[in-house]
Amino acid sequence: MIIMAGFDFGTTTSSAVFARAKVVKNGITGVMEYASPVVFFAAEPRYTPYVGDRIDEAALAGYIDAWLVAANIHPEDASAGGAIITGLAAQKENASAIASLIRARIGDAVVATANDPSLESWLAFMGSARELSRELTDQAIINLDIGGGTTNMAFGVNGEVRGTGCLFVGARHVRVTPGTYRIEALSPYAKHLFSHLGLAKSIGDSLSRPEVDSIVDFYLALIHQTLAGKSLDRNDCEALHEQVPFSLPPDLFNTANQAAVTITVSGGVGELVYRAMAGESPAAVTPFGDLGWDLALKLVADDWISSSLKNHVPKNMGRATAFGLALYNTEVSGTTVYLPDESILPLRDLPVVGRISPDTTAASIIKLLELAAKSSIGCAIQVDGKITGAEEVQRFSTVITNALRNSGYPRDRTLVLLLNGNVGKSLGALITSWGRDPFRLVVIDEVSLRAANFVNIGRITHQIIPVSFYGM
Amino acid sequence: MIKLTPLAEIQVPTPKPDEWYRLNFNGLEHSFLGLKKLLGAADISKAGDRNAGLAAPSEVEREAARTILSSLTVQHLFDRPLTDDAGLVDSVMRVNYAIDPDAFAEIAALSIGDVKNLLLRSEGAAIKRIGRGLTGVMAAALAKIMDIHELIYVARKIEHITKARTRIGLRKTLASRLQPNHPTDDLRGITCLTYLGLSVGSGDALIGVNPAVDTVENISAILVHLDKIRRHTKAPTQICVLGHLKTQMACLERGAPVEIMFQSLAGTERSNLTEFDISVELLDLAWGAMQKKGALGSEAKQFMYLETGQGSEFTYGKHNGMDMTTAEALCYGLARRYDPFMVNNVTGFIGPETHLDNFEMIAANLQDHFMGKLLGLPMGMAPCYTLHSKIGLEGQQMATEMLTAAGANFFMDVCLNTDRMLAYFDTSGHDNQTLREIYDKEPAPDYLVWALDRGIFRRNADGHLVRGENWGNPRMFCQSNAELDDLLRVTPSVPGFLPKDHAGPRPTNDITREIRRHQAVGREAIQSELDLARLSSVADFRIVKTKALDKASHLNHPDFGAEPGLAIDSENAVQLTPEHTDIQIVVSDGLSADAVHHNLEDIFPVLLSGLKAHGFKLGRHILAPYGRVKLAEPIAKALGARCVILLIGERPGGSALASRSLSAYLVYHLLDKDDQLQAAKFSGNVDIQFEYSVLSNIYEAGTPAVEAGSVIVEKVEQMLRCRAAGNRLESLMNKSR
Repeated sequence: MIIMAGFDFGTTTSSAVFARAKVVKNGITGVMEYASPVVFFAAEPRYTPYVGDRIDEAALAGYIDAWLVAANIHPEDASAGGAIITGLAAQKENASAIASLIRARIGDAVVATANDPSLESWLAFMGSARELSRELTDQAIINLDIGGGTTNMAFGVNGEVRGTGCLFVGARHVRVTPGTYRIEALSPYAKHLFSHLGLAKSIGDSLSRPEVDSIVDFYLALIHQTLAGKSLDRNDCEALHEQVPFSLPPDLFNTANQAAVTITVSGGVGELVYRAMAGESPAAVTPFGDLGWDLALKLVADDWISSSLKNHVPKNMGRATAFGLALYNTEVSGTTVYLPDESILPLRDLPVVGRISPDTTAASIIKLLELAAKSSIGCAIQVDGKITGAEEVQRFSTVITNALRNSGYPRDRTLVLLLNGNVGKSLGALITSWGRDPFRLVVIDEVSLRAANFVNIGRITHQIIPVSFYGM
Repeated sequence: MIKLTPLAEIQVPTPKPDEWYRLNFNGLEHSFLGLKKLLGAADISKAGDRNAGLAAPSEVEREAARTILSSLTVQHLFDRPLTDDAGLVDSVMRVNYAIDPDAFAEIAALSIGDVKNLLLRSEGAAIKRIGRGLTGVMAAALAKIMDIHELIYVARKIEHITKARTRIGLRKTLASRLQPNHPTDDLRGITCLTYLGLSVGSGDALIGVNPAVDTVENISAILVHLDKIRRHTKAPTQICVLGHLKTQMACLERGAPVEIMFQSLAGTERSNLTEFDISVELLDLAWGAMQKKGALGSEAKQFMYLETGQGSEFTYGKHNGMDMTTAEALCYGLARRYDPFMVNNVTGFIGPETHLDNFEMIAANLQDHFMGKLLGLPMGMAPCYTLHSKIGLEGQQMATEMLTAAGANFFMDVCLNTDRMLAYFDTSGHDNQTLREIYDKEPAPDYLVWALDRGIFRRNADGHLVRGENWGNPRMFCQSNAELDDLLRVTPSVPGFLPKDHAGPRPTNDITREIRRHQAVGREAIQSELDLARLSSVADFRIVKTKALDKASHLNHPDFGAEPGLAIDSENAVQLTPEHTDIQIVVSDGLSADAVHHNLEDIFPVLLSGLKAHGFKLGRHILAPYGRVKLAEPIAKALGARCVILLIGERPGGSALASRSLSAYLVYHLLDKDDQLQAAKFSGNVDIQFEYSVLSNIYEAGTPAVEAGSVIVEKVEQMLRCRAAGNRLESLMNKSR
């Protein structure tokens, strides 16, 4: 049994989820996986504590400690999962402070990732809409994870994410005094938006109802526009609000397909949307001191979006990202890896410099290694494709050995090969002539490769290695 | 509740020397020295008895033995307890003498033939009373002189009802033990197979898992999980994890939900002690622990589940000169002591060395069922087979038709007949429902109420029980299709189990064809012969023959393949002489030459490259057709090799792909005195000469051959460096980490 942890530190709220799972070999595929994870603790989201713009480290440490106590686990028990830091919390000093807190309290198993909107979109989909998507096998699901600072969008079919995107659309770009529309703070994006909309209001001023509507209408229109794939015609303000372009298949919203697309929402605003649909409304405006309820009510009033929302409710709405982190962020390697020296691990924030296939030439690999040599901490290369048979493994190992010998890649620098096949130990042994060539090589197999810029590789336990990608 | 009679209080007559039994018939004298020989010759001819030299060589001889046996009185058999090889009455035999003295007195003067006639003339209650006066040997004698109709007819009149959470054994019912075994004890796979079984009305006798790993932690975890499934589905039944008795007792002690306590039994004390690691005293303790702490408490009138099957004593070479039927009957005499909730008979499980073909298996099952019922047991039956015997699905189905007619209490539900953990083939939930419909049987009544409520069954206008709209729809136990998909995704050998995959009570033809194709491939793999010419292109082999000279003797005599015969290479006859190498590679077909053909070309280059890189001294490779795992030992001894790498084909199960699965047995030869002392200390076996590490499942969906090459190199390097293998090596490696 292992413990998986997910921590989500957002602009507005922070939350944590802990799950328990067994690492087992799939009886059909032979691949190692986490079996039947059971979430045994999911913290209610709490406001992310700040002192001014700086994260309140002492308060946040108190949160983490309280979660661990409430979940009744020892920090060292967590052996998979992740932490994500977004929005205001991801600003430079804040991110490193939170990462240090996590490292000090949980250890190496849970690595914090800051400002990775595509990963966050992916996680939110996995944490909330995955099960629904697997149930509605004939439908494409688009999940909008709407929080304080961003709307993280992901599109998936049958439980698998096919595309992600992100907008700077959220509840807390305009912060107001709770119960009023008196402005307390505006994010840089909100300032641009005010200027774009011609709203001559600043801190201390109150927004009128039409002005509030114009703001949330802009957000809604931007979401519509993005889902309709019209990002090319954007004006400057709209373009500024786009963090990661969201590319959907061009024919996704054709008339014929319209019924085959379901939209779900998650995140703090997502949760308000479903509460609004259930007939709830706030006793007074802006109970959280932001435009969350206004945005939620606007989404519910939108025919196109609400028609989907009525029929299908995803899980874990407000904590989708934390659920995604705990349950899906980490995968496990096969049990036969090439790791001559266990002390090489863990490896944190290793750049993934490229992807090769078993028939890639030595010259191409040399180019990749020369690029990789710029990374002082080493690098990872993904090897995509089936390598079967002794002849093929021997041929491929020779190509890599030659590339390593003939490139400027320092021999004492770590090189990790990530394979989706199951030949890691043999490939590594042959590349290094059974350890006689002094390459600092690790070969990890049976990993589902992802288009990512970085990878975190945990320590080996019970013959398997946890692997998590980010920077997608 | 029953009371266990202390062993010492059971009176057994003093054994007598063997006597001659003679009969002149048709001008020839037939003679048999001692009851054991007579009983052996009187039985139908079965492989195990032939191999033990007990079966009659001819029908005339058999009938002569049966005639003599028929004429012996019950008292005669009573006065001559069969002894072990030392001439002593063992504990199993002693327990068999715990009979009802009044019932015995009524029949003591009757001949065995007369008792048979009496059984045929009597009704259920009277038959049960006769049974209480019989020892196992007497029941076996009766079985041997009864034909098929008689075995069915008498057994059918006996009703043994037992009660745990459900009641089973009612005449109108046919129950089933759901056996959701998974090769890695993956709880998702166990859940999946349980849902599939419950959806077809199975599991009313028990949901019982044979665990892959027999530890207190694992068995407790599975028990807790089964309990969770039972509560979730609300199915009224009982659960069990069929670990060793000692492990289950430890689980019980820890508070795990041990509702039913399981144990396999053999018919001789020696087999029980040395092979099953149990004794009558231990069984008594387990029974007592369950009586006090069993999870069902007073709700259960019975709580033991005992399993038996003809031939285990012979296979272990511990049958005390008795034939398989007699030894089996002695198991029942032992089982009777504990008033079990259920007894399951798995004759056919072992293989062709005990039961060669359909007839032997079917007849043995009917004998066992009759003897068990006669001796007062709630008999469930599992007519089963392995692919290396000549028993097949048709034979198994014939057995179940007859056993249902004979009133078997339950059959197994092994999903689509394919056990995913034990690589054998048993009855399925589809089979059980088919039989229920043919013979107008119902599930256990308490379970039926639930199954009617869930729509698994319904009553038609005539009041007949028929399949309901949810029969065969496991989705009803899941929250979503995705949940069911996730469960099916980790469960091997289930090509389909949705409503569309059933045709009446049977799987659809497509499903059946797929299952049968896989079995056919497995059977063919077993019969495949090593292609010596093809393999000689992989490496330079010398050939070592075993004592098994052909496929038939290899399959029917497992011990033959463990001994080298005349050693020859392709040109000159040579004997294996000491070479004092580090490593000797031996390749053998085992139970699948296909496994060798499919893997060797990929495993060898990496393996040899690694062994050479480490500088190990290797002997010339050996290819040994018709070999078994233990062949590694005499070869290691003859060559003086420190380590043998034996690459051998595994026993094929229900997956065509897995029929190509190879195992690597890495055998460390304890040549050094200090190593031997360490190994003896670690294992508790003072005579230990070899230690084993194993890498199994070398095939495409397990560890691919090319990857296995380096895994073996790494392990062998550790073995030779640490001078140990198996658990001792793992323990040394863990210490060094």
